[in-house]
Amino acid sequence: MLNVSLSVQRFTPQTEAKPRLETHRVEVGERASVLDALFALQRGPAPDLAFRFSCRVGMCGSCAMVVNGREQLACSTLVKAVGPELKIEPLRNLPMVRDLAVDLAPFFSAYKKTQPHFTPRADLNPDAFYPIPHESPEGKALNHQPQCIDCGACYSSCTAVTLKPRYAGPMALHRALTVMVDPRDGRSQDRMDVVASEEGAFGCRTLGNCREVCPRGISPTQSIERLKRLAVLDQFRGMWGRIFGAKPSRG
Amino acid sequence: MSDAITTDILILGTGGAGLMAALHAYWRDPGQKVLLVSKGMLGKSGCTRMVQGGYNVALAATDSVQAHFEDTVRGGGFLNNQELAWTLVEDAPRIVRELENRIGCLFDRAPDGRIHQKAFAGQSSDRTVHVGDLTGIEIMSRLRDQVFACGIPCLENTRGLELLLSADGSRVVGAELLDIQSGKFITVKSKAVILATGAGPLMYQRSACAQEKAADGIAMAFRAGAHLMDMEMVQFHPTGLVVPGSRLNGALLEEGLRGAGAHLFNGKGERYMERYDPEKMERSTRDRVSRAAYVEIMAGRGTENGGVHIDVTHLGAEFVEKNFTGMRDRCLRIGYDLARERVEVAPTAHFNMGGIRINRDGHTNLEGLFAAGEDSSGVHGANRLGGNGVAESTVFGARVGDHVADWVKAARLDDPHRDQIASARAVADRFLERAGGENPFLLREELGQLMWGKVGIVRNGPDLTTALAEIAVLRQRAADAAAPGGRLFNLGWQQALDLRNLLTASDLIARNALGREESRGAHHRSDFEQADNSRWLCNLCLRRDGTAVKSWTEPVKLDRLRP
Repeated sequence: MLNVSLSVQRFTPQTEAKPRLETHRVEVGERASVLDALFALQRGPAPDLAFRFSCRVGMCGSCAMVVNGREQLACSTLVKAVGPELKIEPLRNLPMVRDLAVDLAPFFSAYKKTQPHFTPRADLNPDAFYPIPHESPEGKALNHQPQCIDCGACYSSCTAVTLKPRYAGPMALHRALTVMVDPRDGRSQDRMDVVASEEGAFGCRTLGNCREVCPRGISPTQSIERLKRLAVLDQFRGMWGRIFGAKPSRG
Repeated sequence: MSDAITTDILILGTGGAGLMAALHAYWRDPGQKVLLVSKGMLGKSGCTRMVQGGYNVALAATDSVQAHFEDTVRGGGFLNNQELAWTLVEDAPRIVRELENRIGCLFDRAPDGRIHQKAFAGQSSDRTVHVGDLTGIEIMSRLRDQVFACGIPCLENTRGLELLLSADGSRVVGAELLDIQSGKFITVKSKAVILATGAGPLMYQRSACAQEKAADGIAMAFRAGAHLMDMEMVQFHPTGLVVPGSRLNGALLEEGLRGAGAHLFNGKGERYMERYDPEKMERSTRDRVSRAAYVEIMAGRGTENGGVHIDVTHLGAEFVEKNFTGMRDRCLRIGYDLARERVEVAPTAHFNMGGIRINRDGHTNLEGLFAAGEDSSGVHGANRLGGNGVAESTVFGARVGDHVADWVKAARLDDPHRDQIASARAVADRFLERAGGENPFLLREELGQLMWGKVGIVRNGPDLTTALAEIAVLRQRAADAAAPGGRLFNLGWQQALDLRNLLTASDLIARNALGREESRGAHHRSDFEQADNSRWLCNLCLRRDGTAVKSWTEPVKLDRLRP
């Protein structure tokens, strides 16, 4: 068993002026996660501690929080990997709900602005599976990074979001790229208009915090760099069109 | 301290079934008002998000809907409602194409560009469509994106407390909800209610499912008078991780590992499936593989932590790392390298085959009440095949959405019985008002041990009788539990409410398990070891009768396939 000191933020905005840290000692198993440590608090000194979780296997992305200063999924972080003293705070850049739970609404509002939903190309055959050979140009162009679980860790860590809340943020842009390089998708210009702006890809300052904290090993920075190249290419096509009256086909 | 909302279609639950129902209702008739209710966050709660392996569908030229049907019914011990099972396999090809071409899921391709289908257990063809070994993330994200695009409203962090009935008790006319964050009650009046809360056997100490699945839908429907069946059929998945002292204990390693050729060894290093299913070995159905592990462990042939070993090292580290990235990561997190060493696993409670009785359009016996996905029953019979779960939730979610969009056109709004709202609120509030009482988290752990020990993988009459008595005592203690800390986002309060529903479902599981004096599918009685087709090719049905439970049997219609 591990005996650790666990400091958690307690804060009920409706009744309290500011957050405070509450420290308890808890016993957890050798392979216990930070989430298990929070469950240990529930069973004893803090049965009303507020935090989010659902799947406890790193797939739902509900339990992202700041553990000893760094964004982590509580379910996927071993207590012993953090050390004998844990300090757990809610995600940053987002409004507080209670204790360790934040409101992800601004994160998803930014996401919605990028028109993230798949829109089938007009000529996509609904009765077939569009063939995408692995070694074809279309297969290679797909965003091959791991699947995003929209946990909000990147948004919390992003300095550009802190300085400019209208900036879409790493997750929204990473996922915009995923759908934009999908050969089945037919939406282009309105999505491009959003991502090719200062509130989109050009708002990124390339600090790479998002890449550091992503629990899935995604580099949103890399996706955003690719978006910038696509945006420049799109502008070039637009100019070409104004001069010659037609756009060159997409490569 | 309360809100009132009126809508046409109220959908409780936002997994695959709930979101497909919402999208199909909206697409069918955008004029109907649809309201989604999620106990957690939209797209992030429930078990569809946790789907690993994938989606069973007959697509290949060498496969057929008939073959998928026969596998499903044989796997289900012939207890399936064959009309529902046929609907599943018949609609699956259309729905999986819709997921790919309209909703946007990008399923994995083979190197030549065609859709890839992998091997799962208990199946005559490789028919499981997937996205790596974490398929649910793709399906739920894309469904959520489409819900955003349609502008369908969702009350997040909100739970159902009680279904509301009309004054004469004949119709479901809405639901009483609780906003978990604000502690406010919300009364919703609607023409139709679709239950898609996902059941979930969280009443067992080792369980694989998402943590909000507390049998809310089943318990609410039962209290409202809905007919249930097959509650004794609880699936135990054979390969849940063994992680002592962690909530990760019981989390799954996916079925595709067995499909790809994983071996299972007991603590003595024997490939014990030779003794239980020498023909199919590890690729036997989940019920058999789980029971085999249980017998080995109980006979003292388990590993040091009371499990068995899964071994995929002979498939090659590179193969495992490429095809089972998610599973390997999951193991690495707790210090095992799945690609290079054996990993300790044991059976874990995974799925309720039983639930609310429906017809193929999701109708229950109550007017205005519909159900889809794990809340319902009949599709899988006595055992569900891996890969048929997400197929069920999307196929039946879509069907019920289409159907209800038409059905509500001739339906009317009605006022709920007033006493019912007050009593639903009083039941919830009493946990907060109490000065002292037991901790609901600890009570939940007691229930987990009780169900695991006495209503688990192998059952017997005396234990089940004792379990029913103990559940009754726990119900009283749980009703007297206390949840200090106030109304605002109080997880202790939510646990007390969960516990009430889990206990309702536990009681029904134990009753049916005691009633079925044979062994079939996931239900195994050590005092009745054999299946008895002469007496038990029937569904054990349940309904509330005042404060008692009425049970009866309905013969299974064997109109497409006979044993």
